[in-house]
Amino acid sequence: MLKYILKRILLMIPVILGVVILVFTLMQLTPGDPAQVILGPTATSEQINELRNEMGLNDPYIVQLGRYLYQVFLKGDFGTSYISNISITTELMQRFPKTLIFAVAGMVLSLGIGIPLGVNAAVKQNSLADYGSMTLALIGTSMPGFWFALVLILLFSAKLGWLPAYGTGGLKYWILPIASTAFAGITTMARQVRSGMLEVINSDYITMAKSKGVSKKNVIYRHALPNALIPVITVAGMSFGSSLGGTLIAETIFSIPGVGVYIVNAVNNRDYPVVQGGVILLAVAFSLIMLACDLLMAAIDPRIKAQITGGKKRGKK
Amino acid sequence: MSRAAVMEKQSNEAKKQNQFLEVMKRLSYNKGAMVGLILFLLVVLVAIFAPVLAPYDYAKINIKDRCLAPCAQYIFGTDHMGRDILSRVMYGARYSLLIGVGSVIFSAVFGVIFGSIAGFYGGKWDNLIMRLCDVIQSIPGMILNIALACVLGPGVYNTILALGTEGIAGTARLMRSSILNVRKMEYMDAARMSNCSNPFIILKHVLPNTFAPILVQATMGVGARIMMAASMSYIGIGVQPPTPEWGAMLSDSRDFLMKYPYMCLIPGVAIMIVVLALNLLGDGLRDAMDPKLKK
Amino acid sequence: MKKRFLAALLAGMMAVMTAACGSTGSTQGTASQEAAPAQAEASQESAASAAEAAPVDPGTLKVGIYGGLDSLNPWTSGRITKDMVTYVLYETLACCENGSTEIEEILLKGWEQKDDVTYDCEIYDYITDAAGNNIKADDVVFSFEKYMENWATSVDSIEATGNYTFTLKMKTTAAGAFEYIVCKVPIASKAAFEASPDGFATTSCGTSQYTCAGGNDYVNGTTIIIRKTDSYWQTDENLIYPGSVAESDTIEFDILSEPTQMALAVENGTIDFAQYVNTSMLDEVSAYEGMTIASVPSSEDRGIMFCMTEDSPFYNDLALRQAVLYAIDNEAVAEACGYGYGSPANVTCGNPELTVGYDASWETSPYAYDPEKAKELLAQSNYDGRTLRLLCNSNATITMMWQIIQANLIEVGINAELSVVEGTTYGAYRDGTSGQYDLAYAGPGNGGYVTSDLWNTLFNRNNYESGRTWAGLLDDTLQEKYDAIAAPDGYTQENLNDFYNYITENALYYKIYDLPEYCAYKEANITGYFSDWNRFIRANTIRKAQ
Repeated sequence: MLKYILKRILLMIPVILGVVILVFTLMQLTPGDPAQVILGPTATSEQINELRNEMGLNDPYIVQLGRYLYQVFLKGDFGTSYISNISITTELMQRFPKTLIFAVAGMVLSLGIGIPLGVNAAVKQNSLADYGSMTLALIGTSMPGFWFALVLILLFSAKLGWLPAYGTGGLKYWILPIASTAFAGITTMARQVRSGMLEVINSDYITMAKSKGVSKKNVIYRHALPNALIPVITVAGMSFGSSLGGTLIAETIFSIPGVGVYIVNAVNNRDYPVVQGGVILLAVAFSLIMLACDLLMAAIDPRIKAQITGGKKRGKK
Repeated sequence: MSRAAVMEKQSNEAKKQNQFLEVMKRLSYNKGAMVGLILFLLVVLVAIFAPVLAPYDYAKINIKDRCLAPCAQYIFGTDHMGRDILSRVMYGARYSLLIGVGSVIFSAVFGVIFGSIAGFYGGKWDNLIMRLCDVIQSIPGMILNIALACVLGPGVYNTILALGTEGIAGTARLMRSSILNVRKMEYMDAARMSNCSNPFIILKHVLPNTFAPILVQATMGVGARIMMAASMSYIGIGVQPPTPEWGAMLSDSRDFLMKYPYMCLIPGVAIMIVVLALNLLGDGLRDAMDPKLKK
Repeated sequence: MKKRFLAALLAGMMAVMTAACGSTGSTQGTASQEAAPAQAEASQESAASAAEAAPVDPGTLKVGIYGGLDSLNPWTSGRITKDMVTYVLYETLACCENGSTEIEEILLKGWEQKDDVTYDCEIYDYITDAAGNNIKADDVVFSFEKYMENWATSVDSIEATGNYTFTLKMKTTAAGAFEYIVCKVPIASKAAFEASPDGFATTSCGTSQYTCAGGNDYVNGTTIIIRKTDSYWQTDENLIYPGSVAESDTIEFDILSEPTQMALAVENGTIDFAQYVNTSMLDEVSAYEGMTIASVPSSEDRGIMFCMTEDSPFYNDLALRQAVLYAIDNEAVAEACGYGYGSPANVTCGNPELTVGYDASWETSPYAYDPEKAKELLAQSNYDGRTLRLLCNSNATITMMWQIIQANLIEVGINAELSVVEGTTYGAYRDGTSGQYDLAYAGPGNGGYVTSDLWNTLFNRNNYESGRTWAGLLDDTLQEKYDAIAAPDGYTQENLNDFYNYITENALYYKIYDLPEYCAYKEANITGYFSDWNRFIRANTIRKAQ
């Protein structure tokens, strides 16, 4: 097992390297010049060129890439922002917890609400409860995030005055932002669980269990649910990963300083080291989460465990 | 006709007809999927016949008539520049569907190619392609889209490319695992023994049998892409104005959510209908293609 | 059947949700007599919830600004929202009123122009920053050098000549260059900067009456809280600059980038003062009971420019340029973008309140909307039916303006396609030699001397590597006229008018409309404020009713 974990962590290195190279190349290809952004529109090209030289932007692509890789992988330093001169590591460490709150809360809610909704819908297939929760699920998957966030603000903050509309602070401040991002996750989860459950409920061994006279409750919770939940773990992991960077719209609307908004502002400012540093952090976090999911699945499902301990490489779904 | 009779009939026909027809047949018995299909086809028809159906030019600006509530002259009202919302929603169907379907096809085509290579040839190729997929998937989708959109610039086709690239990794993975399953089947050995070339085997034998999950994923994906395009419009890197893409309409009208709610209700409902239709259709397709799932 | 029901239910729920929000807006928007009690109740409720969330201190002023700051560092570059905080925390050597040529000293005790480009300056010898460091000439030099690392300036050199005296040498003889820079560079002491653990990124130590302590007082992207210090160096009340007074004990800046959020926050009292309200929200906000909106002139000249390189269809084709200008319905643009608060421009550039040397004789409404004349001129031009590429940045108001321009051009028979790109790409494409456009949004700054801002940016080809103007024009007559204004003592009305007429007759640049920037506050809460050339209301001068 330990060998497997070690191997997976080692496998992360080329992936992260790939992420760095991809993001670095994308930033190089983007029109616009960081030196121009820093100096403003009235800068003469002489001044811009001088700054570019100072920043090393005039060096060949491969030299710049090599320098960046050396700095990150061998010195463990993300550098400083072009615009604010603040250490990127410091800034990321301040922002990451906020993004993590979004992601963790989203995960907890989608598991805590999505699974019961999905199970209930599957068990009572074609009932009013089924249609009700699936309607909700479809609304969730067909509402753009920014729009839903604004509707929530207008309803709960402007009209009812129950919750603060923006800012950070206590739990109260987090309710609307998290609701606006987690809704889609909950509904996706509910749909996933429902179809997973249906598949299991209709499978032969459940029919067998039923025919042997095992109680319905027992069948569902002892036999069907655990099996239906295995693919759910991957879905939860993936959505956790995507919410790491995908909350930038909620971050903008609710004035929450997270990683997403930091990266997107940096893209707009051509603040290359910030974009690269931020994406590396998110990619590492994502890879670790996927590893955790795989380990969790192995712990639940002996078949997967056998694959892992048997040393066979298993492709992620 | 009783359900059992239907099943029996289906299983009889399955022997003679190919899988595709069988699936279509099963699909046609699924009411939800049919509602979805009809809704989707309606939207497609509106998109095709927009120039005939739309009462006004979608880009015609009429400042004097701005922000009008729905009335006889403008059934869905006008937007903040006095443009007819009905006409814009009709033309918008073209762009939103083009973005949704286009980017899904883009991901599907490249995903299938890369996934097939990885799954069929294995070894070095498999490793390389899968690590590339890891790279793409470990960057949060939204951020990758934004970076790509900045590189490519705005516009409908560039938005399709930006949205489509992200999806390649997912499709490739799906394709690869399907191929790994299919490879073990007996008929593959038969095909190999009869000296068929690899691309021929992939096209003739593997693809038709791995088509189901890809199609389901693609159907569901269209709605997700339309939503993603809306988010990109919000950030200001989506299609070019005055293109009436629904997401852009929604984003443009967000300042008027309180005063003129109909302005964002209409494109919002349009997005909803398409997402709903495709989800119903996708659910139906999945059921129809999975013989285990007898509803 | 049930699924169809589901579809109907789905659409219904969405409608109900939106309608629910909509009704909020309409009761508040119309503020009818009947709705008033309910509305008052609602606002009480939200005020109560706000109070519960953060205990409101009567000495705290809460100000909403529409964009974040990457850092509090006063010298790094940033948007105008950064200035709104920077100039409350740091003072400059001097400042000046809108459109005035006279500078008012703040840290400067006096100055003298030695020759065309050299200035001898002296600062007060008793200036101290918040940490008690005495500000010396070395600190001024240090601040200038820090600033020049991040901004392109026309400063040639700065040198300390004594403890409190220094010499500033400019690169240009143009009027306004000295005035611009002494009003712009925030001054801090080198000792304080070096003592700061993060280089002033999250804390501040300036000579103003406020400091930011960092920690919970600086939450990047959300709030910045600054507090009044006990001691202010300038003890002679007669010498205190009106923009340096401290009206509140504490000022909290809330960053609200979504226009709806800003409007709601000022309506329900979460903030006392909204520094910027989007024009699309103005009707709604001003209709709210007791709400006042006030304006400061915009920092942007909302004008367009033609690409003038040899490859451009506008090169050597005055008739086509004029046809384009006549085709633009600037009244419609002003109405659309300003929602009734904008006005079509009656000059080709400049602003009466801001531009030094602005002359009433310019106000002839050149190129007012005349589609017939546009068609006539188009027929005389060499226009070959090609599709013109229009370039602008992705700001919502600017994009709206360009959609109308595009429609106007198509109406008179000029094909045009719009290319809206995000800010930095736009910045990279905006130079005429980039080959990315035929007609572009220019939006130069329009404050103070035209030789330090407006015309310098647009027409001084010495600024650009290509040796051409911003739009890629190579015109010796134009440069001669510019150099005449920029020469020592050349900033005369005669020269200015001559230049203005030249660019107007040749249709080189055209301002479409004017739109001030609006702020909003409850009349009963705010009793006064001060604004100067910075083109925003200084938060430290906002007086809150007790």
